[in-house]
Amino acid sequence: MSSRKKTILKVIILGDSGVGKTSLMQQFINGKFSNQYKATIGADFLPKDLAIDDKQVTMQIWDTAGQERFQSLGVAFYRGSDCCVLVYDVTNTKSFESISSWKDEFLVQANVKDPDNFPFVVIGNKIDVEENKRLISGKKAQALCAQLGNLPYFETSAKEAVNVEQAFDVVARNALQQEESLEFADDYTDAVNIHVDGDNGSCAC
Amino acid sequence: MSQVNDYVFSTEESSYPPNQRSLPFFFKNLNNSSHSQSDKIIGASYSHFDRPSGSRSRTSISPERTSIGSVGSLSPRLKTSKALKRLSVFDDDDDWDDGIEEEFLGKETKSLGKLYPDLEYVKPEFQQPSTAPARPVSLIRENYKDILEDPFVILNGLDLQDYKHHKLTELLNADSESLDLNELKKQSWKGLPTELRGLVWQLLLGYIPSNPSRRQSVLQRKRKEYNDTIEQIFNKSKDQIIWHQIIIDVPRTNPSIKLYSYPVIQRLLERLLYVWAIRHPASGYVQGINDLATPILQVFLQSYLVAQANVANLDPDKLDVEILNHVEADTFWCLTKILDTIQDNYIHEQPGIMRQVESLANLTLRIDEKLYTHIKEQNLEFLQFSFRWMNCMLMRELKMDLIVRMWDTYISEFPKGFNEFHVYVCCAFLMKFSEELKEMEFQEMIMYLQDTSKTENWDETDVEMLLSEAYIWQTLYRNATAHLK
Ligand SMILES: Nc1nc2c(ncn2[C@@H]2O[C@H](COP(=O)(O)OP(=O)(O)OP(=O)(O)O)[C@@H](O)[C@H]2O)c(=O)[nH]1
Ligand SMILES: [Mg+2]
Repeated sequence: MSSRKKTILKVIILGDSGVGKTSLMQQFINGKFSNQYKATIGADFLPKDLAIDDKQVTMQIWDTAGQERFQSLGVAFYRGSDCCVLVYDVTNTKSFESISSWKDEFLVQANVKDPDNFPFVVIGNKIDVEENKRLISGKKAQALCAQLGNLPYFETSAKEAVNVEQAFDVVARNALQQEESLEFADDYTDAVNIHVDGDNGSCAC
Repeated sequence: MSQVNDYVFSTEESSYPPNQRSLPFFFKNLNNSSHSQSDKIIGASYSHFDRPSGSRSRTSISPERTSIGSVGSLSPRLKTSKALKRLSVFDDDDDWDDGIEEEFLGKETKSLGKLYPDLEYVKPEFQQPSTAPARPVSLIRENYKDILEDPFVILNGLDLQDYKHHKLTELLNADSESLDLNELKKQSWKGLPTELRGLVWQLLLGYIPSNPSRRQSVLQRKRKEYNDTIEQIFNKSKDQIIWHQIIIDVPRTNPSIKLYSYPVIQRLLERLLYVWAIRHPASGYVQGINDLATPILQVFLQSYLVAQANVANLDPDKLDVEILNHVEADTFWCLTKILDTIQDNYIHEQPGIMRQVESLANLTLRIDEKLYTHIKEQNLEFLQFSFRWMNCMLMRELKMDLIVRMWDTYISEFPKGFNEFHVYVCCAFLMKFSEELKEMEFQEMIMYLQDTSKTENWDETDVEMLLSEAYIWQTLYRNATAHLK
């Protein structure tokens, strides 16, 4: 590894309680599924080192609690995110309907500079269930994602490890892109500041 | 016997500069005193380590003890206890599938039968299961029906000779109009024996009156009231949002403890959580309240079992439904009592928790400025790691048996145990890891703080240390943090 600091990508997972956020994270990070996870309180932190093409990055993921009562906590975890994952449960209509309010909530609390271009990824989880238990069709979900700004959409099963890898690959890439654009913006701001400072200096005469 | 407030240190509060990192300073004091006063025991919570004075060795509270997992200064006896404890079912999730009868065979080992107090959880290892006499053993107390009517009946079954908690039984047996509740609190602070815990909790929470003449009628009325409420509430259409949250949380409650995997227990929890939520519309059900119900449930169930039975591995289907029914009502009422003291932890925006997290940060700044500064420099927010400590009363960080022990003290501090005192306990908890944390960066720190394996080997001694330290911080800083609820 080079001496240069690894790029850190901050990712946050939101969605109603019980949609399977913790299960997805465990599947992604540890490659396993268990029925024994406790409900998340506040948020759990999960780092993962990975390579995107040739670039080494560390993904720092906050797996948040889904109950609405905890939303006042948001700021502590949302700030500085590079990508936001919105999860719903394909067997639960309410969780699907909540997707757009989670998105809004995030944009408000995270204080995102350019909301229209902030990367979100939508995940419909629990597709392993029997056909008759599924209440939200892929078509319906895709329509919503298009309407919310052409958000990438994945259908997963944390239980059977379907599509989890693929979804998080896109999460990582979008987060990296966001992080790099921010870095660029920061450089730009710095340049402006220097310029302003210079002006001040020359005005002191 | 030293009493709750007989802390050995006697230095005036004013002699402590507010910003001092006081750990080494007054802990040194404590050690000195312990040498000079041979019969005094350090910290209230140690008073129950009564043993013959010759063999008595003290747990010293020294700065070195702040390192995790260090057992260096524990007495040999405690080390043994710790080693033995590894054999006990409490430590070992592999015992999940063990039957209760098998579990229970340890009972016969009389020499370790009265395992009070530090060996309480040490189950004598069952040497050769295959050759053991296959005799039917009952987990349930013979006189359980009488205990159901009057919880004090449990005192009749105790072998009082050579009973370590003599003072406690004396208190409870006192033939007076009403109990000396203050003395009872002092006893509870130091930790209660398994079989009397349920009774004492109910008394200290004010659920059963200390006046003997009213006891039975009050209990009857409360249980009836609960059952009537259940009927009323479940006859109406359910609040779907609350109900949904409860039924997805109950199966995720203490998943590593077998007791909670049984449908009867899950239904019981669902009912009492739902009733509580409906009766408290300002907060409703909030995740974490499910956790808080379980120490109470376990302790109350335990009252009907012989002391050596491990309630965690109990098969509740083998219980008389009357027990379950009464335990459910009693749990509901006592949970209500406790939640009443922390209501604003669970209302909109959770102001109680926000305040407690802020207090924790302030205390850290006063007690351990270096740690505080390090946390800030690493951009770690107190809310990010301590929200859960407040919301679930450290139940996610410590094992159930340790939580139960901790609640002896919290309940003796009622009604401040679960709010004000808890913040000091969290503070002591954080300080335990101060040295390690100061060497870490953001990511490592947060991983370390949320990693529960660091307390896996903790036993009651560690928790009692925590409680004693919390007591000290509280004595020193209470006024400085008067804004604390
Ligand atoms: N069939 C199926 N069940 C799942 C799947 N993912 C999660 N579950 C189940 O859904 C329930 C909730 O899962 P969690 O991962 O705890 O949900 P969460 O979104 O983290 O919930 P909160 O922490 O309360 O916000 C558990 O019982 C899981 O076993 C899945 O892909 N398929
Ligand atoms: Mg979760």
